[in-house]
Amino acid sequence: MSIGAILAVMALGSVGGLLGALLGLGGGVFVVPFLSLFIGLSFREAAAIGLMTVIATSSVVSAQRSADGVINVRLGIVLEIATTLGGLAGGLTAVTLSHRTLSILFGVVALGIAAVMFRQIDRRTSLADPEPVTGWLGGQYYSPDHGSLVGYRVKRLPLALGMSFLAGNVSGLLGIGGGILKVPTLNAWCGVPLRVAAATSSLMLGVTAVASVPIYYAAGDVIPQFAAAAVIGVMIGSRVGFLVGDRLRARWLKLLLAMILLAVAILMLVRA
Amino acid sequence: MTSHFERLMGRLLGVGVTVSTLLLASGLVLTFAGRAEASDRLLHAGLIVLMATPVTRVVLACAEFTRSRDWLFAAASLGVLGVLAMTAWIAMTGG
Repeated sequence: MSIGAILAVMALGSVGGLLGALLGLGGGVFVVPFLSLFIGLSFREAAAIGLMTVIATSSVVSAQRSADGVINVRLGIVLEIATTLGGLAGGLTAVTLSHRTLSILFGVVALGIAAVMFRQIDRRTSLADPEPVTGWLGGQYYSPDHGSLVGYRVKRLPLALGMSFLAGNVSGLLGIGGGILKVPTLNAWCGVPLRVAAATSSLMLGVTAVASVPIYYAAGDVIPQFAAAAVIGVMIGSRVGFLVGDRLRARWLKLLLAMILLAVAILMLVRA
Repeated sequence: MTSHFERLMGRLLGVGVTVSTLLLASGLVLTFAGRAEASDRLLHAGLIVLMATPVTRVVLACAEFTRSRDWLFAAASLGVLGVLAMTAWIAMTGG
């Protein structure tokens, strides 16, 4: 294990942390393919480190967001039942699948995620009318667009639970967070404001990853030195992300990410 | 759910990930200093603290929901902890 490889993994982790701080993603979807394609790890070893970076990103971003009052802990805990069951199932399945099968699955999922990102780039987020009755899962948050506290109600809970299970499953299987699946669903179909959806999803990522990563850890798939480098990278990248904040144009960032993801997905499929 | 609780939760997550990073960083330094045994111990301790951080957050939520007699959400937190316990059990018994 060379210092060069450690530094490369640290740089990857810092990109993951940066994405987490700026966009509320776990960052695993970028860390995993690069570890697999360029550092030469097996898919399971890459996924295991992806999950460790997801835990670090989720924790550090939620620690930062907890003061803003945009995390819905109740909704999070209900959906976490579904994401952890999905994560456990994914972790158990991953141990039985070959490197090639996992790489193909990753390529297909990454293509899907890139498609979602391209579609969302120019979409205005739906600003629902404030709900006076917030129900048992809804809540209030400070909306900069309204300039006041705004109530919201969670709709179509079965859909949110189903998508959370799927996101957890993909997370345990492929080492990514799965936030990119949950956030658009919660916002577009379930009436959850985007800021709340992103912050709540971000909180859920850590628990979701913990539902599968111990299985990788026990199987010896976590290379401790690389995991350490990736986590240190996350801490550096997320700090930079919090500092840069809204000064970056989110639109260009999303476009860039979607294009990198598309390239990575194709490369994973071609290699497999 | 009070905002006091949310701040406590945030602090817990922040402390967990910071302690884990410090352990991992020390372990990494010792790896390159050629102290294999000590570095292994620190690296694994760091990884275990990292994995325990979100679990502790759910335990904290469960305690807070129980304290405020929010039984439905206390039960939901217990459900999540149940799944995580199953994962840990499968991992430890090699199932």
